[in-house]
Amino acid sequence: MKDRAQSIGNKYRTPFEILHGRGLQIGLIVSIVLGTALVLSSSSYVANVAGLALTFVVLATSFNLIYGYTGLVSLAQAGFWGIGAYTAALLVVDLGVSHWIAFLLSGLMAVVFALIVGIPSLRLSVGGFAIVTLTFSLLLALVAGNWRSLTRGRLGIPGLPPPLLRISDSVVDLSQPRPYFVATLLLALVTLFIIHRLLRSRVGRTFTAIRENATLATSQGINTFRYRLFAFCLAAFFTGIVGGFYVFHLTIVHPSIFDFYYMQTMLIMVIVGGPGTFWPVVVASLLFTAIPEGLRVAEDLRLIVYGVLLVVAMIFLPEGVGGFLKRRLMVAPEDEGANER
Amino acid sequence: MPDPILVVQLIVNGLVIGAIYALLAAGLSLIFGVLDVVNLAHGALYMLGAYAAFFLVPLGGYWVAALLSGVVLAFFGYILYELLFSRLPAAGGIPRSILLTIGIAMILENGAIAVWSASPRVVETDYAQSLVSIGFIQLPLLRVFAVLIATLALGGLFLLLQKTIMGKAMRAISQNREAAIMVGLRPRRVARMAIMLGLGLAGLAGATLAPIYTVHPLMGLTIVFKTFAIVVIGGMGSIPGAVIVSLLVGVVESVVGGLATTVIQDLAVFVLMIAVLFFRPQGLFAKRVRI
Repeated sequence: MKDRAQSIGNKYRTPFEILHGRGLQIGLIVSIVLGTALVLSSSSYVANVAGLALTFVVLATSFNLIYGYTGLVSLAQAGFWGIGAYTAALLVVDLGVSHWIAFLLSGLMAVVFALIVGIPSLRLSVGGFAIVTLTFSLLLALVAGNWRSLTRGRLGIPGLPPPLLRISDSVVDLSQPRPYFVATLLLALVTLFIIHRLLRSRVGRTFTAIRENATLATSQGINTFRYRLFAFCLAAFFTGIVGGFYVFHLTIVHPSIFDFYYMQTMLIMVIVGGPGTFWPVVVASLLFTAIPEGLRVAEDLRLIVYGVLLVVAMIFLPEGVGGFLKRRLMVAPEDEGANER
Repeated sequence: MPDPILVVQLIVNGLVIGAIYALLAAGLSLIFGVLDVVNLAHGALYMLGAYAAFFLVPLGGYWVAALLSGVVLAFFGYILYELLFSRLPAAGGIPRSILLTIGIAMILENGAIAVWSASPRVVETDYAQSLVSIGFIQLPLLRVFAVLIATLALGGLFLLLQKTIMGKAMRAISQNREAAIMVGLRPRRVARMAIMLGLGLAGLAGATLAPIYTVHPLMGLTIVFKTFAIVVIGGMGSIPGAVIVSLLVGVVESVVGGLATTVIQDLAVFVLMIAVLFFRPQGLFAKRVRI
């Protein structure tokens, strides 16, 4: 019986599984090379949008790791993003730390906060966890605006010095659109690689087991608390780094970095893309940055549309487009197996 | 040593704001207890209540506007339940309900910016300048009314939960859903009523605070931040817990804010919440931990 199931599984693999093999690797490399060439040959506006899109790829994939794969509705991502931003900016401006160390430390600072928030709140129910993490993000927005001696209050810190990269004789300013795009691409690729490897490992399967049934996972001897905390910290780490890098592209850090716009955009990318599916969320992140930019939709109108999408998705399609495709494509082989019997 | 009169004044102010927190927190707890829905749109709905009051006060005066704002929001709750919440699955729907209510909040808050603009508005009432003296403490009349309305509404809620069949049904469902259905309760009607009551209280809260502060589309964000912390500290689903902690948080916040900086005031509630969670993950007043 088991053999037959396996042989069916081998015979009828879903396009997703086939894609995870050689085809995906070649396709990815080709599309990255083509996309990079296309962006670099276009205007600096296009490079700006592409850089932003890749920033959101990291944000959405981190949120996907924590919500899609581990099943935790963490609304602290917006907070970690802002913590990364402020940590990097303050380290460089106030303490004169080198940019690269500052970016790394902004990720680590986010992890420190993830531990402070995660350890008490991960023992709560799903709802309690969501509330504590939301409260955390709202609190940080208030603190950034009011703690003037540290954050300069509502005026923010303008004129952040650009990160410079010396390649032989020439100096590259990484806050400029094209270099920013290339650097973000590398950051996104490293992040995606690490998260993808992790999700396909035993640890990743444990995350999914916890999401599907935490009680059952515990009864199998899995320390669900520790795995959840790990996922929470890892998502915080990447979100913090990319936040620190992003504000040096903006050249200003300001309490609006904690704006719920970022959180809501991450949410919609993961929910529409398909929580718990890897590549659909990446594609959704690119599309949800490019399409509103292309259409030049005003921000509040965009968020109304996102809100409607979120409500509709939650009622009719909670597994997102990715999950829907996966389910539809998975049905065929099972039917075939049933007919043979 | 701070001036004792100042401290008493701060405590009284804290009780006033705590009473408004209680209206919001009791509604949140009720909805969570009966529907298992964490309503992150509560702040946006509170904002709608304030706008309702803004438009109704010139037509009918303070008292009529406050009452009608509650009724309008309760009706809105009826629509939300029939349209959206009733379609959520009974089990395992908590993440979905959280994201659903975030979506509702996004629509309402950004919709309010689009329709009414982001600029704050002032609700003009006849009582804006009136003060009441109680001993050596002076209180604005509007704040006294806010406490009065909150006390009446919460008193009404307690009577309803203790004395009526519907109230008993709500308590039964929040204590044990399966058993409640087995003895023949109809969860749909009970859930709809809980949403209507919760939103009605949010509407009242918005309407009573609207003339005290200003009305603007994102007014729900900061207040709801505290209300959520209150609900977690009090124990999710426990209405008495929510009310007691609301008053406590109002006082703590007011005293800390009066004697220290705004940052410490913001931090106080959050630190209190984290501290409580370390020692009692289920909150102060909940009987059991939900798994």
